[in-house]
Amino acid sequence: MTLEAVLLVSAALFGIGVYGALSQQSFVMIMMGLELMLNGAIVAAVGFWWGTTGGNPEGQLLAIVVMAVMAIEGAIGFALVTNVYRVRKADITEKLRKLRG
Amino acid sequence: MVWLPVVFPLAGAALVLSVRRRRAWLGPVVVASLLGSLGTAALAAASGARSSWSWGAGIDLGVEVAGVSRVMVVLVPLVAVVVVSFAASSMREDEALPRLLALLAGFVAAMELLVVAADFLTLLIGWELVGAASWALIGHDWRNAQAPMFAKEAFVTTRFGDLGLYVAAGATFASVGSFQFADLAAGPNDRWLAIVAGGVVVAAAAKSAQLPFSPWLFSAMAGPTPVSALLHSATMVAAGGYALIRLELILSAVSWFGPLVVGLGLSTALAGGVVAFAQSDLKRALAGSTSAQYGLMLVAIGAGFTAAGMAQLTAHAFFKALLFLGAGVALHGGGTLDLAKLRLGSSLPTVALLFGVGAAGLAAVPPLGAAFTKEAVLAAAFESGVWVGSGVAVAGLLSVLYAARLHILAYGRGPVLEIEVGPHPVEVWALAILAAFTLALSALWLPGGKELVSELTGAELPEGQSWELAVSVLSVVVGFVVVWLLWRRNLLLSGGLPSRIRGFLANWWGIPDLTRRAVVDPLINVSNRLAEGDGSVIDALVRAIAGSVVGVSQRLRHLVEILVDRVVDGVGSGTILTARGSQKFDDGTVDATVEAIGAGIRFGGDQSRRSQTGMAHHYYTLLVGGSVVLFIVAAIWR
Amino acid sequence: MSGVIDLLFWAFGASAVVTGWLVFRTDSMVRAAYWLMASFVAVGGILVLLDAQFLGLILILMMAGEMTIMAIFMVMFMMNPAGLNPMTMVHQHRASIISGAGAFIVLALVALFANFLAEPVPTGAEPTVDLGVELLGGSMLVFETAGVALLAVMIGAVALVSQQGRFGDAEAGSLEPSLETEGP
Repeated sequence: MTLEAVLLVSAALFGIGVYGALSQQSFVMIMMGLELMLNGAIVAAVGFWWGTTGGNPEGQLLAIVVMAVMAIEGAIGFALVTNVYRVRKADITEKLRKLRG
Repeated sequence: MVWLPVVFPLAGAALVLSVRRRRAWLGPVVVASLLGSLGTAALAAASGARSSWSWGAGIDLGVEVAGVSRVMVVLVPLVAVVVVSFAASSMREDEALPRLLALLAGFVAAMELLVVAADFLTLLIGWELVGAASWALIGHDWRNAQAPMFAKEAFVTTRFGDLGLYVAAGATFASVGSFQFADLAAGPNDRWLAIVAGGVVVAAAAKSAQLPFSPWLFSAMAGPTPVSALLHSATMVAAGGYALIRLELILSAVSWFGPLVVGLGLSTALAGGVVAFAQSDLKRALAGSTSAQYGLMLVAIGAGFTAAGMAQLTAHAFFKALLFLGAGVALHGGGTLDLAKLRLGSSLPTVALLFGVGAAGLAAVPPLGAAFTKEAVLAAAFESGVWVGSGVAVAGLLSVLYAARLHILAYGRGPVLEIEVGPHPVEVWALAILAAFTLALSALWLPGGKELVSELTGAELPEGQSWELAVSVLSVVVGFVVVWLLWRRNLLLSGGLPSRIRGFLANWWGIPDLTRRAVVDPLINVSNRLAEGDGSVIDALVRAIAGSVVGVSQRLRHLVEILVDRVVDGVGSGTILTARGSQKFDDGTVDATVEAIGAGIRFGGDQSRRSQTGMAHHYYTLLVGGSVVLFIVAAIWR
Repeated sequence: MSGVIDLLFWAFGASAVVTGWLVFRTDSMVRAAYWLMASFVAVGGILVLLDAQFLGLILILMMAGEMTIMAIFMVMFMMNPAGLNPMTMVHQHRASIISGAGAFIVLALVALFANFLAEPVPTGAEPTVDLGVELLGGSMLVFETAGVALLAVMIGAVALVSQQGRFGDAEAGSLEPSLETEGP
């Protein structure tokens, strides 16, 4: 369990999250991809705290802030998805084309 | 110092012109300047100074006060003061009074210059200026058509005579190499001196209205009366006599000088006397008498007694000015100068009395000073010859006749008329002052008078014989008797002569007609002929040149037009060709380039529009791709 | 002892990656949510192994609740919640694979070739206590700000989805989402 291994895992999670966010049509699936990316970020943050800061609690604080961001993003994201569906009847990204051109 | 009598009147003239708005100041200013001139003249006469001014090129203008000029230089401003006061008063209604007074003051300055001249050039300058001033003053009322014409007649006649003075000056210079009188006096007695003498006599005769130049004085009477009183009785006409007096010593060396002058003067005295007796215009009669009196002076000078001539000149100045001023009062009061209509004795008693004093002087009634001077002239004439003396005695009789006739006809007892414009007190005082001077000259009869005259003039008076005095007294008595007889028979105006003859005599013995036919008309004809010749010959030449020039220029213009048109056409077609070529280039190349650039940009825009899909996932992809690139760049850059 | 930890770490790591991958391979929507939760649990395990026990456990706690909510949303928005019909709802598949791979490669390169400081957590340290002291001490502002932000988000979310939308009632005009895609 070295720092490089931790960072590899984090990179893998992040890469899968990117693939998911770019390839999925449905809004909810895209949000799942975003969650995975944030997951990777948390792992990387704690990894760095564990390996390079020598116990500085601000490393953990970063992880907590990222978790808070995850929660915020999830809440607002779902609220927006609901709203968009109500207004434009759109649940997949292809349905939103107003900005085309 | 010697220049001051000239400078003061000049300054007065300038001052009068500068204050011409304030009419109340005009008279006092000019009279003050003339008093200044009088004062400085007296001082100069007492001290006897000389001075000179460098004209340049080795010529000096010299002035000196010596000999007879001492008397003359004081006499001129003295008479001028009185006459100018009269003028300022009697012509106070005249609008052009400033011009009149300024010209009078200027005239006095020029006359003083003439008087103090010590060489021909200065004399000539003063002579000419005096003539010009006379012209301007005679023509003072230029709106009246007559006045400028008469002024021109007077001026041309005297100017003609002035040619003699030019000839004299030139001859002097040729003879002794300078213009100074002193140098001429020291020079040789040769034909140059004869030419000088001839020239001076001609000029003096013209200026003093002697035969054959006498009629110009009649024309001069067209001017205002104060002008006649100052110029044409006392001062300007005196210049002729004065020049002869001044130069007599030098010119008497010429053998025929004396006899010529005597002959001229005597004939004028006799002829002028007849004219004065026959005239029915008051001023013209006085003009005739002026010529006659100057003729007497010339007799004395020609006889060699310049002192007698100078004394006669002085006395004549006073009473002649007095008489002319009296004529002015008669003109203003009676409205006419016709002797047939004037009898102002009862209407203007004071003026009549003063006029009588003047007339007495003219008649040379003893014991007036005028009689003394007439005596001296008579003595001088008898020294010259018996016939000359008899002639002078006859002239004296004539003077009694015309003087008494004038006084009776003008200011004799008559009806008491309503005087339109009575004389101003200043005018009466002027007359009184002149009368006083005339009376004061009676002192010359006292013992010591002869010596006084000799001392003042620097020459000797002739020794008079007692029978000459008897002759004078006799002529005076005879004259008065004849006049009384004529008056009794009411023949005073006509003088017992038939009217045609009287008219002929009154008009200067027909001299004006003669001169017109003999001199003036031929001259005008000749000049007209010359003008015609000029017109036909010279003008024709000029016209021919101009015509040829015009023809040449027209031909040139034609040529130029053709040439220029060709050139312009060529330039035009060349420009059109160039324009077409550049149009092709512009369409083919430039426009194509611009359009290609535009098409390229449009293509680029269309293509780049394709990235705006409006789809979120495309944008995310771009985001990821961009971040990766950034990351790599940041990693490598480090 | 460290061998065990290594083994556990690799197990957790592999399971996190694989379950993350399975989220996008499965047909059933609910199962996708639960695969995601499994991934998070594995990550929590990793965190515990990294001496951040508190963090790992609260992650598991939080994600449990969150995935459940997400499952509900899946059922709401997706037509095939149970996954009874196979279907693939993907677009730009190749581009996304390349992007994912590219991101992984770049980060892996950074991880492998960058020089990191070596300052491990001291053995006797108590990270939880330190975190607690820090949260309520020097980083109180961060903590409070995060709390306020969460409050704002709650309010905002409620405001966004309230029944009276800007364009009318939420009930009005609900349409079934169409089966066809309209292409990228």
